[in-house]
Amino acid sequence: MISMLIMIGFLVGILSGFFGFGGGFIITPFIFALGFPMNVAVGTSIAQILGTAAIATMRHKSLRHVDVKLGLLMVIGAFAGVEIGAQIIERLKAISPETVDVAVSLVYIILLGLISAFMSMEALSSRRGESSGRGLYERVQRIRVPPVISLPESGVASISLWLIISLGFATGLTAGFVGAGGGFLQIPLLIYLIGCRTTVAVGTNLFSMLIASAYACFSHALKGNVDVFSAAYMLIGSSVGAQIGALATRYVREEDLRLYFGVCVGLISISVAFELLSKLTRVILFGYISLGMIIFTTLSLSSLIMIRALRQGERRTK
Amino acid sequence: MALRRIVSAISLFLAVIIYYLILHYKSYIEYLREMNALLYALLSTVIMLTLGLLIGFAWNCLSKSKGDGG
Repeated sequence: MISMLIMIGFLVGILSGFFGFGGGFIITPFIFALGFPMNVAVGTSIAQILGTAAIATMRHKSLRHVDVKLGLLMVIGAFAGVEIGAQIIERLKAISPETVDVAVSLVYIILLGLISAFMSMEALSSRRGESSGRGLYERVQRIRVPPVISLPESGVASISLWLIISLGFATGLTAGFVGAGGGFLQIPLLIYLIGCRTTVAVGTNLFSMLIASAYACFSHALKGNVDVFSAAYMLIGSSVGAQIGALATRYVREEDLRLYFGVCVGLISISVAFELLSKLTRVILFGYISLGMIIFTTLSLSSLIMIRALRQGERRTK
Repeated sequence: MALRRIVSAISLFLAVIIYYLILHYKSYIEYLREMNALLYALLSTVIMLTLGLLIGFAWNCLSKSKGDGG
């Protein structure tokens, strides 16, 4: 079990450092499939994200991918969202553990599926040079509910402060409820609604996630949902993986990064659907398919990222 | 450059110490989880944050000492 936790931490760490999410939406279903109750899977995942986010944020800061102002503003909304999300988990836990499993799984499936579809289509359009969903942020930025601020590090001339806080709230709610750092939601929101460059969205998300996940970890630990030992084991692996992933962002085009993100999120959505089917129908095969898909997704994507980074790195040194 | 490597090594060493301590006091931490939720919550958060910052700091120092991407 310990070596498995370290290995999943390593693979998810690569994805975390590369995509800028905490990996909770992969870790939560994975350790849930290993036998952890869903509420403990949620809390432990958040604890691991806290550690990984600290590591990856420092790395991305040194690569100048972090807009501190934007990150801090999103955290203001995230705090409220996290607490509400954690409270919802507690209310559902009071009904029955099965209710938590079903509710969280359904939210995962729908949210991840929608994000995957949107990002993959947008990235493919960008690759073909067609106009993409990235124009959405121009319309959003025209909503001028005061106070209006500028975000020069992200390349945003002016945007309503309330929009940023609302986005922070949405990602905090996701973090508190599904045990993910919210990165799989926040990164697309930063790219498509705020208009951040992809690499700045990745780094800034990690920074705001660091603060939000510290609060979420405390909140969940208070409710007995955190297994700090499992989180610490996973951190051993993710500490190495996050470095590899963060460096790899320098060698991949932004459109490709968004495409890989969309594919990753979509595959995890399908695996969560199989896990939920397994719980509802008590057909063990679905559970194995779910676990297999998570392993396949993390292994294949992290390998792809490492190989591309190594190849590009070699080309540049030649 | 040598100083950065030394600082990186110290940072990693401190992280290893923390891992040793949490495993050494595992039974006490599990007791806290059952009996004192507030202290357990504070301890868990501090442990994960400290480990992350120490390891992240060590990696950064090591990368800069190699003249990489800083």
